[in-house]
Parts: sequence; C-alpha cells; structure tokens
Amino acid sequence: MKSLISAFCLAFCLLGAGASAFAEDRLGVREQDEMQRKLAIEAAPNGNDQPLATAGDLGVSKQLVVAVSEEPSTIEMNVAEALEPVTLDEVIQQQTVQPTLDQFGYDIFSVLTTTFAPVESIPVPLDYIIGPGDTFVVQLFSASDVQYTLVVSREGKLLVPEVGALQVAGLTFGEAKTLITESVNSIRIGVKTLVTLAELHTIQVMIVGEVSQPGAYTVSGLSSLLNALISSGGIKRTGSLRNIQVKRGGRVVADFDLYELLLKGIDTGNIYLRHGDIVFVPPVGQTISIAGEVQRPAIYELKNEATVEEVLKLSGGLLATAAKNKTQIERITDQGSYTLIQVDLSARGASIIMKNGDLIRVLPVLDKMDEVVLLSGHVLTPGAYQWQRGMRVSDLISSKEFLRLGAEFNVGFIERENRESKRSEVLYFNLGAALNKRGTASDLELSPRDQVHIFDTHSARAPQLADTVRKLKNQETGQDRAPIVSLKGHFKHGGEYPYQTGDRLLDLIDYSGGLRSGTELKYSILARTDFTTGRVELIRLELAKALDNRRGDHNPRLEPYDRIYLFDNKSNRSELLKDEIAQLRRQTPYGQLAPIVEAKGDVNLEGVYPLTPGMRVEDLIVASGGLKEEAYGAAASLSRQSLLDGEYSRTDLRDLSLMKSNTDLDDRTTILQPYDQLIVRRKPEWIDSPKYVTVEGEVIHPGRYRVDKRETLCGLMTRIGGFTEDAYLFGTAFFRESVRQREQRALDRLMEQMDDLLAEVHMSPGYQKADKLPSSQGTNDTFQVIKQLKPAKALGRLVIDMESAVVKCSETADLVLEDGDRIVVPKYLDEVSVAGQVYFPTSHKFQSDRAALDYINLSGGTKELAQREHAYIVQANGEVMTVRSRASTWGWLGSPSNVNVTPGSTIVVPLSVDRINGREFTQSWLDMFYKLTVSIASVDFLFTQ
Amino acid sequence: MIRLRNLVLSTILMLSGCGSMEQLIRVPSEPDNGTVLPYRTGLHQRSVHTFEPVQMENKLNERNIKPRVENIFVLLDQTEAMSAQYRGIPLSEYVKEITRRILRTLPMNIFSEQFYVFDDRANESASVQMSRDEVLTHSNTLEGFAVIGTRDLAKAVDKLTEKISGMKTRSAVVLVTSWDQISDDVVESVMRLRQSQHSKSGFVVKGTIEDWTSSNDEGVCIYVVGVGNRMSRTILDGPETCGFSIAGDKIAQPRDTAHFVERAFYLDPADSDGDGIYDYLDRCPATTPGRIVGYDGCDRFEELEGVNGK
Repeated sequence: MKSLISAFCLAFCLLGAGASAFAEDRLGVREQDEMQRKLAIEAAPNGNDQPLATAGDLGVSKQLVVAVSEEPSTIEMNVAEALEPVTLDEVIQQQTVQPTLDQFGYDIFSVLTTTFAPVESIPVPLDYIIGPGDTFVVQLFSASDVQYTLVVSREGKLLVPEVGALQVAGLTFGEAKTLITESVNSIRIGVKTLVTLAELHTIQVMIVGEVSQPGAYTVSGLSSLLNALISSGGIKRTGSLRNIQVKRGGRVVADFDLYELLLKGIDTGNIYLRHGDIVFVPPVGQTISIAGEVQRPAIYELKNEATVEEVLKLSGGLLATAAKNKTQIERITDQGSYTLIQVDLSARGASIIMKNGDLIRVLPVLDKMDEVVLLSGHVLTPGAYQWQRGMRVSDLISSKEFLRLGAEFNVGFIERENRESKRSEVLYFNLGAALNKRGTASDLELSPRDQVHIFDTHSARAPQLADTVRKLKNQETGQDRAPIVSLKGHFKHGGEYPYQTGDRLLDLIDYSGGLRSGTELKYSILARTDFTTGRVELIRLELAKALDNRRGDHNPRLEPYDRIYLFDNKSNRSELLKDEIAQLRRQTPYGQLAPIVEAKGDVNLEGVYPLTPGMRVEDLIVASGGLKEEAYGAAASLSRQSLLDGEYSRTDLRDLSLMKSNTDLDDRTTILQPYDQLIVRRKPEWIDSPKYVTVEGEVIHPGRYRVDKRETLCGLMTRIGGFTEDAYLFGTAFFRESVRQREQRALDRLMEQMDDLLAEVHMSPGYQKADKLPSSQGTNDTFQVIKQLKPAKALGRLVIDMESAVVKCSETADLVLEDGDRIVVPKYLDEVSVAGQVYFPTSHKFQSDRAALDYINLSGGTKELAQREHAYIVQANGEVMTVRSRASTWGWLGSPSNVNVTPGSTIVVPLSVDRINGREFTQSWLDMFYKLTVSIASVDFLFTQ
Repeated sequence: MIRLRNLVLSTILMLSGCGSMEQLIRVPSEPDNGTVLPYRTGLHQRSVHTFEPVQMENKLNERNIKPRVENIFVLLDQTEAMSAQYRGIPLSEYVKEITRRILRTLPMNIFSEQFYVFDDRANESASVQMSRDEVLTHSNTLEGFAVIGTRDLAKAVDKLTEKISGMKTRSAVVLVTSWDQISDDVVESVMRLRQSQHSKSGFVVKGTIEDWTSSNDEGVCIYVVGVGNRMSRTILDGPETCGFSIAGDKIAQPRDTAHFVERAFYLDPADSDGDGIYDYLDRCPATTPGRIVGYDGCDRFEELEGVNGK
C-alpha cells in the first residue's frame, strides 16, 4: 500500500505543482497498474470484492494531506531562508536550476486511467440527444400510480403504453420529455407524468493520433471529449495538448486546447461526443522549456505564444527570488549548435521571440544581503540595519542608549569588505569620540555590508575577533600577509588582533583595552618574523619612550604576524618568551651562538632573555626586572662564552661593576654577547630578617631586643642593664627554637616507637608466661600511659651556665644568640620538689645540709612500685643527674647519697616499669618516662611561681 | 728566610710615546732555540710541537679593538722555589715558556719595542735596552743579564710598585709564577701595588648612593698565570679588582694564548656611535642616539617622524 500511496503522491504533486521527475512519473503509473491488478487477483478467490476506485480515492485524499506537509513549496522555502538572522555570508551559487523538467499537462492522464467510466448518477442534461438504447422511466400519477421502463427501439421509437410509439431519437432529452408528457396528457387527462432517463445509450468513437491506445471506443452517450481521452489511456507525451480535434462527418467540430482548461479553467471545445465522432490528437507542436525561479518549471507546448513574457505566463510567472536581469535563453542556432542569450526580463528582454526548443533559465537572485550594516557585540539591539548613503557610526548607534552596561568606548571595530580588492579589511574607531563629535573624522563613515562590533570592557576580545582573523588569514597570500598581530603577556585582553595598515604598538594596546597598571614600561619585546627567511627577530621596545614620542622608534608600525610581549613585575618573563627563545636557538646556524643571555642571582626575575640588538648589561638588568634591594652593585660577574675558530669555546669570567663606571673593570654599559650570563651577588652582611631575642623575668628591662650578627648572651645582658636582686641566675631557662625542633623530632620518633611497641604488645598476648600481670591488664595500662604521653611537647631548653656567661663573660660559657631565643630569669626559689612514686609528693624548704635522699624520705619514702635505683634530680638550670651518680658506693640502705641538691630542683622517683609489662620492654619504658618527666619537671618551677 | 737565586722582573712598555720602563727577562737557555721553539710535553697534552702564534693584528685592526692598558709588566718568578720539578721540567722553565708565548703573540705594532732588563740587586742604571726580537730569538744570551738577587717575590712586587707608582697611566701586571708562591707576603705586596694606583679615590654623594670612587683613569690590573699543579684561581682575584688568575696550561695553545692576550690587555671591540653594535659589525657607523638598531647596527625602523610626537 505504501508504494501505491507514494505513487499517488507523485501523481498529485505533478498535477498540483507541476514539477517532478519525468521518469518517476512513468514509474508511478506502472506501479499503479500493477497494484490494481494485484488487488483484483487477491480479491477474486475469497469474494471479498473491493471497489478499486475507492482504494484509489482514499489514497489520493490521504496523500493530499501528506503531500502538503511533506514538501514545502519553493516560496515557502525562500521565505524560510529569509527568516533566518541576517548575516553577510556569501554563498557561492552555481548557475544551476532543476536537473530535469517535465512536459506540462500530461499528468492529468496518469491518474485513474483504467477505472474511468462516464458518470451515470448525475442528472442527464436537457440537451442530451436521445438515441436508440436509452432507457426511459415514465411514471404516471393518478388514481393508481403506474411506472413504465421503456427502451428506445432501434428505429428510434419509444413504445409508451396507452399512448403508442413516439419518435424520440434525435430529440434532445428536454424535447423528448416534453413530447412524452404531452402525449400522455393528451390521452389521459389528470395524470401527472414524470419522465427520467434510467440508462443511457452508448456511442462509439474513434480516438486516433498520439494517444496511448488508439482505436474505437464504446463510451457512454454522456461522454465528453476529455472523458473519452482519459478512458483511452490519455495522450502520449508526443501528442499535442493544445490542438485536440473532434471530427464529425468529415468536419472539425471542436478544437480543444487542454492548456486553456489546465491554466485558465476554460473548457470550450470539451464537447459531448456523438456516435461516430473521431478524436484526433496531432503530434506535439513547438516546445519551450522553462527552468529555475518560476512557479511551474516545465516543458511547455506553444500555440499562440511567441515572446518570453507570454511563455512565462504559461509557467505561472516568475518567483520573487528570480533574478530578472540574469535570465538566460539557451537556444539551438541554425548552424546546429547551442548558444546562450542573456536577457533582462525587467526591460526589453521580455519581448524576445521564442524559438522551438529554447530553454529559459531564470536564475535566482544573489543570496547576499546588500545595503545593510550589521551591528553586533555589547549593544541592546544587535542585528542588521539599513544602510544609507553617508551613514556614519553615530547614525547606527544614535545614542548611548543602544549600548549595554560596560560597553567599551575607547575602541570599536568594523569589518569591511573592500569592493575593489575583494578583501576584508578592518577598521577601528573610537566610539566615545564618534558619539561625542558627530560627523568628524573619528565618526567613521560606513559602507554597505559593514559589520560594526562594540566591545565590552570585561570579556576577552580575541574570541570576538576570531572570525575576522580567520577570514584575514584565509585571504592572505605570500606577498600579502594577513594583518594580524598577537598580543601576549600583560595585556588587558590579549590574543590575536587584526590591525589597520599603519597601526602602531600603542594603537594595539588601545584596542586591547588600554595599558594595564603594573606594566613594565622599560622593557617589552616585539617579535617579528621575516617571511622570506623565516627568521625571528626580537626587538626590545620601551613603552615609556613610546608614550613620550608616539611616532618614534619605540612605537613602531606593526607588520603581519608580529608578536608583542608586555610584562609586569611579577610573572616570569622567560616563561612567556620561551617559544621565541626556542625559535632563536633553532634558527642559529652552525658557527654562531644563539642571541640569548641569562640573568641570575639577585635580580627580580631570573631567567633567560633574548639578546636584542645593542643590548648591554644594564639592559639585561632592566629585562630581568631590575636589581633586588639586596643586590650587590659594586661587582657582579659576567660569564662569557667565546668561540675560538668557531670550534673551541672558552668561558671567561669577567667582573663588572654595576653601579659605577670603572674603566678597569667592565661596567654596566658593557655590550653583551650571546650566551653571556650575568650573576648578581648579594650585598655582604645583608640582613634579610633581623634577629630578635626575648628576655623575661628578673631583669631590669625585660622585653624584645634586636641583636646583631654574632652578638652574644653576655653582650646582650650587659646592654640591657643587668638583673634584679631577686634573679636566680642558676635557674635561668634558655629556650632556643632550633633546639626545640630537634627535641620535638626526637620525641616524635620516640612516640612512634611507643606505638610500635604497643602494637607488638597487642599482637602477642601472653608473650611470656612470666609476665607479672595478665596480658590484657598490661596492655591496657600501656595504652593508658601512651595516651597521656601523646600531647607531650618539646620545650627546647638549652642548659647554660648563666652565672659564668654573664657575670664573667667567660668565653666557654657564652654563646651567640639566634633569632627567637628566649631567656627567662626566674626568681630565687628556696624549695625542692619531690615527685613520682613517693607517698606524699610535695615541696620542701631548701636546706643546704640536705641531700636528695633526705628529701625523698621527707616525702614519705618510695612506694611499692617505685624504681628507687633510678631516682634522679632535675636541677633548676635544667641539668639532670641521677641520684646515685655521684655516689662512690651505692648505699641505698642507710647511707644517703651525697648528690648536691640546688634550690628549685625537683627530685623524681620513677615508676617501676617491671610492674607494668614484660621485662624485655623495660629499657624503652624507662627512656620514655625519663625524657618526658624531665621536660616537664625542668620548667615546672618557671610557671608555678 | 729562603735564599732566592734569581728573580726576574720584566717590564714591557706600552703605547709608543709613553715613558720607558725597565725590564729584565730571563728566557730559557735552550741550545736549539731557533725560530721554532721546542715542544714542552708537560705544558699540555693536546699541544702542537711548535708554537706558531696567532696573528692578532688583523683581528684587532678589523674590529677596532683598543688596548685596555698602556703598560704591561711581566713578572717572571725565577726564584729558587721555582727550580722544583714538575713533570720532569723545572717550574722556572714553564714560566719562561709561557712568557715567551705571550710575548710572541702580543702584537707589537702599537706597543713600543723597547725592552728593559734590570737587576734589582744592582743599581737601576744597569738597565740594558733590548728589542723584542732580541728577547725572543736570543733568549739564551740573556742569561748574563738576568741574575738578580732579591729576597723574595713579594719584594719584587714592591719593587714594581715603586716603578709604577709614578705613572699616571693604566697598567697590567702579569705575574707568571707557581701557585704555591702566592704567599701572604705576596698578597700584601699586591695590595700595596693596587693601593698605590687608587690613592686618588674620593667620596662622592650621588643621590642617595654614597660612592667612594672617583673616576680614575689610573689603575692596575693584576693577572696571575700559574704553572705547576692544576689550580686555577688565587686569592689575588677579587670581585672588585681588575685582573684574574689563569692556569698556564690553559693559555699554552696559540689560540688560547691569543685569547688571553686579548682578554687581558684589550678592551671589547669599539662601538663609536654607541648603539651597542661593535663597529666591525656596524654597517651604519653613525647611528643617531636613541634609535633602535638591528644586529647590523642600522636603524631597525625606517621612519623617524618628528621628535616630540604628533
């Protein structure tokens, strides 16, 4: 069914639009025939007879809907195109029109050929000529109604009951009706008579000439010429549609022009046929083809039409998109070749006389917007505007109301088509000046098809210019390079910019949004490529001089593909110039050195810089951002690579003075050579960060002091004026950051070891049967201990002999101060603390005749868990000594140790580790407890007072 | 106190027209010393068998390279310590050979060909004047002139200081000796030598920067050529002082000798128009100051419109 539908579609389209492929059309007819046959065969055996015409009708009506929605007309397509946003893009148009053309009008015969039959259900017209075989139905209405069905006899008589034979053949239906009625009425008064024709007689006609199936046809007596033609299968494409003749008795009674019917709806000549008529279709006459922008491109047969204008009328006229002045007529000359005649349909061309076989090509108008200007960018109403002669920027943007917030006033951009050179050009203008000073030179005059672009201040411009840049690149030639420059580095909006011929560096900076603050004014680089050699040359420019003299060397005119590098004072310049420097290296031929120099040391921006022509040491210093504050100006070294004979290289180290001119040494005006390396040193004794020492406690002037290099403790103490009477010099705590860090690292390591230890303990429950505690109990204790130890912080206390260091300034006791040192001088303390595993940990009054064990005993003696042999004293100055160390003989039982106890010290009796865990860990435990307790005990007194 | 056998102090006077100086040269007493000098295997492994000096005159003329100094003093250490053997040859022989090579390379067209030899044990008037050719070709005959008794190298430097201090011109002192000879005494003597040339220093305040130097055209640069072991620097070098040290074997080859001579005694090539391009590369020798030039020394950008902008 689908193919049938499509076939119908094709047929319909052909009729309606008159434009489709010839071949497809033929195909469609064939398919239709086949389909009908197929349907008939299928219907026959099961008796499921379906009227074929219905199927066909259905198909047509369906296709009607589908066809409209499926393929838009040419006009619709043209309008759809025009509805798109206006662009200035040009589309290349070949001079092509439709690839094929059909002969006009023949499609009428391709529909429903075989199912055609004269319509019987319509009223018979009164002028219908009655002939033998017509069947009348005569109804008589009176007291009793009678109906007769009467057939005209061969003699032409109608036998009406009670009336007799009436001669009706040759009469028209109307006359026959009157005759019958009157005859009946004359005999039977009061009878109402109704006469109708039931069946019509058939007539035989000959259809000859250029028709599909010529021959004799029996058709309904009510058939017209067209009916007969259609039922005969239609006219072949070789037959004329404009000169169909009906001959009756040797005379031509009708001359039918089908075009009149198809184009104007006039059917004069479409007469009713009579018996014995001959329909003759002569061969087709002169034809003209019309292709292109007309309503119905097709091949037309000519009758009376002679001029182009008349022929165009046949095709329904020109489309709006037709280029009237560019119509072509392709004609066969008398010499037997083709020629082309260019005609202007809007002028006299319309009256050109056509010739058989001409092909009229109506080309479309150029798909190109003219007389418009386009406005884009940061405006409220972007789009196309009408161009007028003398139009200026200020006419397009009549007021600032058009601009969106943040529009750039300093620069606007126009892409223009040069009509002479056929090249895109760019123009920049100052929008602010254009609006404020209308009509002046800065208010540029616009040309048709200009594209005016307004920037904004914040977004990147390179993407907005990308299209133009691409266009310029596409149109460049070897001699005529695209006017494009790249702005790199410290630009507001860097990227690729087109420029106008004659633009200079500062112009481009304006285009890119102006000079940014923080731009290095003394050093910027212009990289220029010589396109004949492909070599890159880097030129150093000074913006300060360019601003000073806008027409001088430092503000040069730009050339295609220049790269401009601007720098700031922070970012790495070498990195930005990396590609250019790599190119300099690549292009250096054998036997030469690449023009590259390097600055190292105390310059602001170390790195590799290009050796620009005439570069001196001072220029390199500028390039590298200047000397640092701490740089040593009196002497720097210049390492120079020399080539001897081009093969041997030697490195010379030259000393040069940066700040003064010195004829003995090289100075800052020394001309640099390739691969020179400038190394700037630091000023001797430069103090990066001053050193401070804090002194607290019992001194006359506590506070924060700045100390010089190599200043000692003694020097500082003397300077700040000494100690108060209460000062306990022996107990002075000296904290040093570097020491603290070392201690902290050691402590951390210890903690890690403890963690490992703990893990081990957990992993091996009941490691030794001899454990004094159940393993679970032991690990729990260990865990508790470690948790308490975790926050331990190192203090960084340095044990010093303050007494001899300060009072005597003894060289062995004195020490050089460091930044962050903290000196705390405590008050005199006459007490001794006892801590740890004693029964009553407390403090005791210092008495010189008491020794360590005495204090322990004063605190109630050691507990069961105490490890008495490991008791130790933390002296006030931070020193730690075990109680037994001084003892020549360890006599715990009875004889007290003779260890000296100083005021402010703490005596610690540690816990017996044996009681906690297996003996194998004792040493680790001990070490840890010792360190931690010391660090706590040694400073305890400082903060308790 | 070491008893030094002989110390040779040689002074070459520069720039014809300047005052004459004394000179004592001790050259090796090789019997086969003709125009072709014998190859010293110890000097350098890559050495050629004969020393053909590089002709520097053309380069110097072409590139317009001007001398840095007006006087060159070559101090050859021939004290007793120098008789120590290094690779089978006494150090003193290296000293003489290096000196000979430097002298042969040094272009003489702008220097006067006056060589003075003097004996500092005797009276200065015992000086004898010789030409360079005589110095170079008849070196063995110099034996008789060279015997000088002095206490040590430091004394010789002091002696030199005496000679130079009166001069108002720039000088280069080439001290050819062994590295070990640079003793504290020598360092002190060299310091005295330098100070004698910088006596006119003053104190100038320029803006916020205090500048202790005056622009002094007088000055002395001290170059140490060390022979023997492979050291390459001495404590005589300083960042703020003129001159440098170099190992003898690094300047033994003809091109290296020439390189040393050029570096030590000559300035960079001249740039008369101050555009930063050496004259010998400068195709446009009179560039307007302030113009940007290319590597050929010509204006990089063609037009120069106005001076004060639009």
